[in-house]
Amino acid sequence: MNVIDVSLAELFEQYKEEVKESIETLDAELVALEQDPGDSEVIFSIFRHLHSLKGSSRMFNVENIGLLAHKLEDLMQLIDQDNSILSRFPGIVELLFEGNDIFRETIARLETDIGFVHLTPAHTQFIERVNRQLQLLSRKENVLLEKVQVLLDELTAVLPSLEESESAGLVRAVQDLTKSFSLWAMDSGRDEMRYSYGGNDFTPLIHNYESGLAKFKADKFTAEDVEVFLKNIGELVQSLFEVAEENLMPVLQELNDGLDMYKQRDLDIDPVVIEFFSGILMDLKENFKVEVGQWPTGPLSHSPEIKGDVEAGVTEPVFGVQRSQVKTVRVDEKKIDLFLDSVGRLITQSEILQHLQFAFKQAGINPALLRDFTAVNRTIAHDVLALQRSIMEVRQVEIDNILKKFPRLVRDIAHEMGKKVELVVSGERTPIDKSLLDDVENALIHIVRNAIDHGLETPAEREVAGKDLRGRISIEVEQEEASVLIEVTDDGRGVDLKTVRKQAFNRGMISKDQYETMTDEEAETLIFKSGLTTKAEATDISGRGVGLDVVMSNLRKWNGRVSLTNRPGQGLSISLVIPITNTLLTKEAILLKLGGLTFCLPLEQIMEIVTIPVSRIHKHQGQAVFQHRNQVIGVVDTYSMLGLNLGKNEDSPNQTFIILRGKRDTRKAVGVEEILGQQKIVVKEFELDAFRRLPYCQGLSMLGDGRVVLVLDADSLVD
Amino acid sequence: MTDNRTGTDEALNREETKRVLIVDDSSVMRKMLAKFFTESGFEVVGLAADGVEAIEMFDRHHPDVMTLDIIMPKMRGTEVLEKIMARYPEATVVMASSVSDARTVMKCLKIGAKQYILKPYDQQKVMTAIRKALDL
Repeated sequence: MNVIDVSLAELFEQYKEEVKESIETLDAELVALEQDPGDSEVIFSIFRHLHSLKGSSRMFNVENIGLLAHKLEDLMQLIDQDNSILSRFPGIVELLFEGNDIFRETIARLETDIGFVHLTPAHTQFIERVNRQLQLLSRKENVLLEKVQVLLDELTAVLPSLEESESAGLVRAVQDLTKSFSLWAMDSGRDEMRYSYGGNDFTPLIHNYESGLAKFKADKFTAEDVEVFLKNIGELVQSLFEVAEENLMPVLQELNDGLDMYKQRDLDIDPVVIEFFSGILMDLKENFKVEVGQWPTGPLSHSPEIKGDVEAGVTEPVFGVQRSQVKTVRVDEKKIDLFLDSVGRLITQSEILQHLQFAFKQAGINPALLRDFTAVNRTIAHDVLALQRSIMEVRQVEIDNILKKFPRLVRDIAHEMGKKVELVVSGERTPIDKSLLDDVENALIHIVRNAIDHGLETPAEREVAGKDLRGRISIEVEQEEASVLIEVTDDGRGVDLKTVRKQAFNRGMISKDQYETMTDEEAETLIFKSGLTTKAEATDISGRGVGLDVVMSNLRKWNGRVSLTNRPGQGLSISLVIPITNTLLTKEAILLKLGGLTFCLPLEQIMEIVTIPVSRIHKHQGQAVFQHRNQVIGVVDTYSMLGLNLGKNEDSPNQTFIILRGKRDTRKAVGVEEILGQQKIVVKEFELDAFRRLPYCQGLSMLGDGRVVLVLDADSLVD
Repeated sequence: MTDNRTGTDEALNREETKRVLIVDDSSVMRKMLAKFFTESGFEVVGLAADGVEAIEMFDRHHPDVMTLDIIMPKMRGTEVLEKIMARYPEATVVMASSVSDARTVMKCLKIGAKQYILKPYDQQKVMTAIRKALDL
């Protein structure tokens, strides 16, 4: 036999032939299986062919067939163990047929040369279906999965109420999410868990175990690491043997044997060894008492209440939910918020996965594994996003909720002012996030009051001006791509900028110089400033000088913008633009280093990031300032405010500043040691009293790598 | 192999050359392993496609080392291993399978397999394990 001459290319051709043969055999055997689902010989043969397909496909880097065959093999293995599966799930044979068709198609299209063969969406979709089936068949118990299950139960509990808002997208998102979770839930250990057994805390030992495994998995370990790992496990085994009860003994014995075997045979740290130690770890954990850290899992514990309060609904896990069974149920807004909170955590977890992916890549993990991970990750990120979007949709209500109050309001104000007003409303069906309702309503009331009081003339004045005796106010709402645009227009006198200037000067808000040189545009911005009213006397209704600035600062927290169009003599329009897709859950934030510590600062509060020479920083009345874009900008002494030690690079000739925008449009700069990057964060407001008074911070956030950092609050830093 | 070898060299060589039996139900995998072994200076004494054939060939050739697949027709690799170890306690058997289930791996090692190679493997991975198994 002259095998030495066979080239890899020839072997590859033979591989393809072998796959084709297997496909034919599988077809025949699947037909046999359909006829006699109890034939264990046929079951084993199908299993064997799939197994062999997996093995050889992986040898030739035909990953798509390899992965598919692997999944179907898992399915067959379960069927092999439990014959009743086929009668309980008759769809499985069809699934296997479909899989075989995919093999056939894939192998036909395979190029002649050997290379990496990637998964197509068709493969991924099919694999997901098989996964779903596998999940239905085998529920492996594991701590994290349980947690996820709780979360999913929570989702299920609110699912019916989501149905009420006809959010089919959300239902799908929840279902997709379930699927994705099942893919990774098995593997992701969580740092904040504590493990105890027989009253002893084994957390550090378990963590050592885990970190050793993580090194192996990342393929980044030295001989010394292996030694440390084995020593750690030795320690764990020893201390466990002392307290172990009967049920833990077999696992311990197995772990001990595994250790011996490893040493005896000098095995390589390969997937099998890693799997062995991972499997044992999982078994150990099942016997341990597991507690989860305080944060960020709080609201999960409320889930039983949620379930209890829902009037009717689905108690089955999400996997089994069928849309047609779901009934309409009302759910308290608080519960929706709780749910929102859960989604927030999901987002954080999805960020953690992103970070892991990056870390894996850096660590040079096995490419096939990385690819799987990346694919799963992408699905999760996508699903979480869809979930987030849908939950925002659920929270949306029509703006009519606010607008319907206005006819009465306008009538009453007009009556009191002795004015005649016609109100025209349009776009009242535009959706708006529930949480925005109050702020938008207050803003509108403010604006409309001002319009009637200041804007519209008395009927007598209007007659002189040649206008209709009845003033007209319109509120137009429109959805513009990602924003809601609300425009309030009156046909009154507009704003007399001369009066505005004079008032501002009289109240010392602007200097003589400014008074004389100010442009009309600049004068218009004065209208937004607090303390200014063009009215000689404040009335009950408006003119107390807490005007538009309040409107503005309330809307700014939603990233809203206020602008105005003044037509002197003709009227005034005030526009509010509020983004709707800028979801309220996540914020883009800059990660920065201060006093050697990492902080977050939401992007929305940042005007600009500049690096300037230290020589440009001056002292002015005891405060550090620098000039930037013709503006003097004060430097906030963050170090003493936050009680930090000065950072290292004091000697650097340059200093980086983040220029912040405060509530009243004041600008201040915060010097930072380093900008670390940008990240999506979920801000968790302080819950503990001890933290509540922590100044200059708005909350905590968990970063992708699991670190918890403080989120700075620009408003309090600046003002 | 070169042509100018003397008979003595050849005889000496044969004595040192390790003889291997390859067991796998996939013909491509058998050929691939055979290629690895011949390229590394081993002599392939047989290729078996199922468990029963494996035992027959082992009886006939008494190889220095056997690579053994697990999921095969007629008789599973684990059963083959048990039979071989019972008959030849000194046999060197290296499992070569894509069964990654750690309990199966442990079981094989306990029965007496010297090493366990997981598919997909390459020449280096196979030869490292084989040399460890043979104490080379």
